[in-house]
Amino acid sequence: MTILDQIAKLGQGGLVVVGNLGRAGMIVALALLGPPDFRHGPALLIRQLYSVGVFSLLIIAVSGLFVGMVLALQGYNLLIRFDAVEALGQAVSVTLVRELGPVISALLFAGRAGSALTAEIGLMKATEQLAAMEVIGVDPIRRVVRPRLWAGIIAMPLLAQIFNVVALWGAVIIGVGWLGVGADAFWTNMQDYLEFRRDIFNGVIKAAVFGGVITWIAVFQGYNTVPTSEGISRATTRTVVYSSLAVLGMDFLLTAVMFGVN
Amino acid sequence: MQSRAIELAVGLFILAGILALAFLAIQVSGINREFDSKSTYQLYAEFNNVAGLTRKAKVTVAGVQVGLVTAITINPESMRARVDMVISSEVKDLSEDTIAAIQTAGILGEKYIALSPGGALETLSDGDRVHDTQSALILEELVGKILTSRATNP
Amino acid sequence: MIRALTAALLCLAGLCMATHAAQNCNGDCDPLEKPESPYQLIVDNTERVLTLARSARSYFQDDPERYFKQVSEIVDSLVDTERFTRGVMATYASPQRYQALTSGEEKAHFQARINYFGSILKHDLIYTYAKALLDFADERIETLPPARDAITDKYARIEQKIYRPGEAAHLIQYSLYRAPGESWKLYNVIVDGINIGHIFRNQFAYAVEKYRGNIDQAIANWSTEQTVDNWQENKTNP
Repeated sequence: MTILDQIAKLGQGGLVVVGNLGRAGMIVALALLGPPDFRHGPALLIRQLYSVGVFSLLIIAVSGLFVGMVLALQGYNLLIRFDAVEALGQAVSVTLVRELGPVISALLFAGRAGSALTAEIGLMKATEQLAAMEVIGVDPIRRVVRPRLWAGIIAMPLLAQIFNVVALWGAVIIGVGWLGVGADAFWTNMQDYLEFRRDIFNGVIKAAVFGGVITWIAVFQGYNTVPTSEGISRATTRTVVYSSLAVLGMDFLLTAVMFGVN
Repeated sequence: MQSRAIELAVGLFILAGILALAFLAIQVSGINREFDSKSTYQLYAEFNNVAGLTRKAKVTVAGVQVGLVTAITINPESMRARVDMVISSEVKDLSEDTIAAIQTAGILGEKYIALSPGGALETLSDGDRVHDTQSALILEELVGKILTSRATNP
Repeated sequence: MIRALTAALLCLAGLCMATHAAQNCNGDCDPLEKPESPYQLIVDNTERVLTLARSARSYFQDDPERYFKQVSEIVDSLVDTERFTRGVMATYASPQRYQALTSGEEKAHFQARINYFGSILKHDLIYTYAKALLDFADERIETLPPARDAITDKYARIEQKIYRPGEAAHLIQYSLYRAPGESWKLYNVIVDGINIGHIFRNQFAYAVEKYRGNIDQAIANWSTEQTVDNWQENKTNP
């Protein structure tokens, strides 16, 4: 009996997971498909870009600066053992542009913007604003979810590039200014190695994918929340945990696809 | 008033992001390197072995960078590596018996192509092939050769 | 060890040059005969030189000059000495440098220097390496059919494999050049990936640097400084 119960429980859990996945997929499909709303769309999008993008700018820039400085410091200490400090620019920029830029800014984005999104939508649900929208004939998915999703997809690559540039300057401050690596060697080695298509463009793609995934998880968790204050707090936590895991997992997959061959 | 400020902030944000991307594209990946500009000509050479030469590797004359490698492919018939390179137009009149040698720079083993001009009367021009090459030397092969020649000629 | 290796490679290179330089002129030598394809040229001359070397083994001890003379004739007919020499002298023989000269006297000296150095190089090649051929016994030589794009109007690259007993096969690549209206001639060899012309070119540049830009002095001291065997010495110690 107990075994049967457990199997039933397992099946039920599976059903819930699959059901949630289906609902999450439908939310995305409904949000991204369908005719664009030219009347309200741009204003809503700008509003969301403001709250997910501009608000994340400060934390991204400050973290970027420190990450770049740490990278330069560690890279220098490692490279000086091989008498190859000229490769510092190359090492730092490859690490940043390919991996740390998109991933760290995505993790920060999940903490800063993703959690806020979940809480916002969860609160809308708890205060029955979503239901009210349906009553007055406004599709909440298109009105609420769509602009947020697009804002995530657009804002994330921009944030990642800003992160990269600030981090690079952090590395220049430490590497060139403080540790005395030649500025020419720093930049030339970097330029000799990095390629736009392979490194920078792939980094942009990564960031866009991360932005979409994080916002998707955040929006769905908000939409799916139990409409109590405890439910909202749990949903917010789940957003951060799930989207961090998703970012790291997706990063591996994307890296394997983009850089795996060469 | 409120929404105007938001629009401005978002506009600045997008502008900053695009500028960052442009900076990375131009400064970091080196799209602005002089050898991508128009004042270049193309040469190619075939090697038995390029051993780790990569695209964008330097091409030098007397140690001075004069160009870079633009493509490395396999010639399907001879199964040799074909290396395409662009050379700055300032370096003209390379003789036809110029030798292209693959050499190694620095402790990290970065490979580059050293062009060594010869004394032939004809000169290479755009699209020509550098006929004489010196492939990368593989240490293991050299050691193997010394061993076999030692074994037979003690 | 590097020195020994270089010497070994140079020997091999010389051997191959001489191999291809050789032509069996036992009475029926026809200097006007021009094999049409560079591949055939290499194949024919490989065969000829092997025959020559085998027959020379019987009379070499008594009349070495006869053998060297025969090799010399073949080198003349097969090697583009001027092109090889210009390749070795590299920028010191370049047309740009020639044009920079002002007086006719200087220009004449410039060309004479190339010719003189060419004769030295040729002499070295013949006397140093022709005898290496005499040790040729059980080798098997296979000339590989050239890839279609290995032969153009002016340039050709022919590959050959030499199998010596107890050794890894050696890969020889011959660089041939055909001036408009003339026959194919050899101007460089790559032995097991070592570009011999490149090595000579570097050595010459080094020598000129050593004599502080005095090209004539570099040439005057060329032979004595190269790691070549003295055939006289070898003759007395067979």
